[in-house]
Amino acid sequence: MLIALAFMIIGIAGCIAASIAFNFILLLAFVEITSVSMFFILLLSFIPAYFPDRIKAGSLFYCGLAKEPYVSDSSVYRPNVPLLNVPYDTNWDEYYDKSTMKVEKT
Amino acid sequence: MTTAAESVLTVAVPILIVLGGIISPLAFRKGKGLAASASLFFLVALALNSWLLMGVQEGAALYYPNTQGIIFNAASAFIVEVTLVLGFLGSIYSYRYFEDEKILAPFYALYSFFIATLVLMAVSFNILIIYVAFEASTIAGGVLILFTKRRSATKAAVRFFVLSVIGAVTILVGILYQNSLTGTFMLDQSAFSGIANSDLVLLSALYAIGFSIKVGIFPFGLLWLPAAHSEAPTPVSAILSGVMVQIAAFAASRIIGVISPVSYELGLSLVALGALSVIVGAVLAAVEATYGSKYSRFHVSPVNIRGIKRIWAFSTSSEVGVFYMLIGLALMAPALSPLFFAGILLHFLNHGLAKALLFFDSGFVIETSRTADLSLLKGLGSKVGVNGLTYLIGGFSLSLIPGTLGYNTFLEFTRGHIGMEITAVIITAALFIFFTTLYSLRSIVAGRPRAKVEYIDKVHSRATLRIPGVVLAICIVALGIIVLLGANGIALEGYYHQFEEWFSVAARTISEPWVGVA
Repeated sequence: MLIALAFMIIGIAGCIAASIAFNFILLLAFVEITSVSMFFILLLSFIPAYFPDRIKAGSLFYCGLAKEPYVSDSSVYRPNVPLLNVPYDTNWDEYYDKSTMKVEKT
Repeated sequence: MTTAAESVLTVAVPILIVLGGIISPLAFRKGKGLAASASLFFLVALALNSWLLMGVQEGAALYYPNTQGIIFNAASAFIVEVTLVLGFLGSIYSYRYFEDEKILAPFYALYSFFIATLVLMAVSFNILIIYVAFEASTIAGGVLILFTKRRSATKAAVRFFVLSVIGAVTILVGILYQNSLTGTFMLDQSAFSGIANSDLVLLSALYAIGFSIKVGIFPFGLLWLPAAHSEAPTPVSAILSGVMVQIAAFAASRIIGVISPVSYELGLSLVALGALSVIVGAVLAAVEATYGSKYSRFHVSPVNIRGIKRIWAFSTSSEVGVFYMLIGLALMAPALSPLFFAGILLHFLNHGLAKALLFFDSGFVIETSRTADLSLLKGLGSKVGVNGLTYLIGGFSLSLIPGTLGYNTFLEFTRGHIGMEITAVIITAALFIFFTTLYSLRSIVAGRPRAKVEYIDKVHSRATLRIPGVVLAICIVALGIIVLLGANGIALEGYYHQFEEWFSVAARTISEPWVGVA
């Protein structure tokens, strides 16, 4: 991801430089570098967000040797925000802050 | 002619902002220092641009030597000035907006980069630089939407990315076509003389369609605009709506103005598209305020809401229609194009300030009440304070009420050279926005929730979130009063005529870079 980001920045800077230098071939090369790195970043980031690995919580149960499964499907079914790599803010999923407001729909 | 050293000044503003975005997070990891440092860079860039703007007023134009790809003239300087003012206010606003201070560093870096790409788009007469800045703004803008960290924000960002890329590909086709016709990427009127009009019409249509996606014109705008504007963090919503879509419209007007094809039909199509956007956006804003996303649609979450920011996102989709109407009118009546182009600059100012204000104030309401849904909002009453008034001023400006900057747009569309049908479209949309403003404010101040709402924690209030709304409201009213008194010959006529005269010269520099240069 970091390498792709570096390529993207180089590509953008190169595009601007090539436009100023009026070098069309170089410009297309930089456009190509930028777009390939950009799509790589996008795919790498958004695919896990849309299709996260679902872990079967039951499979963590060790034949009665350990306690009951202490993780649930919902607790492992949690990918991070793409590109930012921080957890989703589930408090605000329904457009209000559950930590501050209690809403009982009537 | 300018020296090479002076020419560097044309790119000094975006460079300064990008530097601010890099240096500030490195010097300060979080908190006050980071926000102050990033804002300071914006302030320095603003001071520099104001100084250049004064030079431009005296008949100077700065440009890149050899290629003349970036030309800093009256129109460009004006657009950059509005962008920097809103960028600076957004930077101040962001400091207390995010609760998690750890994300402030990447946020400021991306935010600064985003503003810099928009500035670059505004000052360029080279279509390739516009294209690259367009793509870079897509990347930065898309990632900035994610900072709300909601699942729905991810969906909104994906929509924004996908549609922007479709727009960019259409523009790229136009760029290659332009190069095959003229052999240059420069937006220079002389390069297009001698080319068959049918080719110019096709080229203009390609650019108009490509940019219409980013501008948010009907129907493309409805697919991404309400989602992205409402899901993004508020300072980003304010910039997306008050600057980004407008700069895309400004770039479209510059490109089509330079190509200037002779085609009544193309002009009529752009007017029709613009009029559809104006009406549909205004009606959907009213539907969102009264019935919510269940009926207004174009929502990215399974939870239906009456979103405060969604109202103003639909309104943006309506306001950007005005730009396409003005571009279309300029094509239909080329002799009057300076008037319509002046209208584009005036609408940029009015919509930019008013919409940014409304988003800033909506964000303040959301952060104070801890809900983005008008149905759940408990009447904030006196807690809204002065921001209730500023919210009203922003809404009134979009409703074209005299005494606000919107009255200028009203004057533009009620003067003799515009048909009654077009005036009727603009006034109908203004009436819808007027109703929407009053109805949504009523919900904010005195609303009763449709569910049982109980606050677990005490209601938050952050003073810095109030500042941008107040500053913008003062600007809107001050300029609005000059327009109201000056245009009707009551007082301040001298100022008003200076204001008008400057805009008429600046309007010509949208497509003719060297007009007014000493």
